[in-house]
Amino acid sequence: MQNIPPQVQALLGQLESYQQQIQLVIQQKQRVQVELNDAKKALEEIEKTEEGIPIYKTVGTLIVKSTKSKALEEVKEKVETLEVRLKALERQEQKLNEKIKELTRQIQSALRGGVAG
Amino acid sequence: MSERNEQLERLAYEYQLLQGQAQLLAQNLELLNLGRNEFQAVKETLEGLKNVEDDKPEILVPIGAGSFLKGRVEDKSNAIVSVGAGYAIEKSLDDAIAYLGERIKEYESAIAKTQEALHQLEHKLQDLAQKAQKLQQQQAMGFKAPKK
Repeated sequence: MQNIPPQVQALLGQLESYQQQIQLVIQQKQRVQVELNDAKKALEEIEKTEEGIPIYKTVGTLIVKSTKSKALEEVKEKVETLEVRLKALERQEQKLNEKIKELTRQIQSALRGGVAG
Repeated sequence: MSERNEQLERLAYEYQLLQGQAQLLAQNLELLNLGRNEFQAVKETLEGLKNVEDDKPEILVPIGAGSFLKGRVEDKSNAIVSVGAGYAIEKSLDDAIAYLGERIKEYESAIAKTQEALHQLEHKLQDLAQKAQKLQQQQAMGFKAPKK
């Protein structure tokens, strides 16, 4: 076990880097998911509001009066943007997962070959 | 013998991993409790305000460090409640109280789930500790009674 062939060491290094990347992607995905849930809930609440009821938007440290239609438009856009980002992150995760599986397979077969040889 | 050592090491590794997860859950639980308490306090404030008879009651506006400025509630029948994504909506006191109640319920179900997960982790940690203890005992006995 101590004498790992250099090619396998290189593969292991690659595997580690992919694993770090996938961890980052998963963290990002969780953050986007939380933000998306928040935006969806806000959208639901704004949709329920009757026309003419005051709606306010946080702008930095100020809270500014807005309208239902403006708020709806903005939050819908936000939801769409976040959904696109989430899908992109999911694709990235899937790709990294495939790479990790493939690398693990390569490493295992290389090690088995080493033992047999 | 070395096989037992390897097993012990594996158990210790697993123990550390689970302990890390338990710590994270405990932190989450604390945050959830803080959130729930904040919502609960606001709900109680609005419920209290409903019982104030004065139409535009004089109040003290907190400015921090236990200091206040005198003020007056202009509109006692509506509250502006944050709904997420940086938006806040004006709601009647009853609607606002109902909305806050819903959020509190969500917090409570999240708290219950987190507590359940934490208990399960604690059980697993206990199991692991017992397994490790058994292994160590077996090891000690192995030393005392060498096989011929």
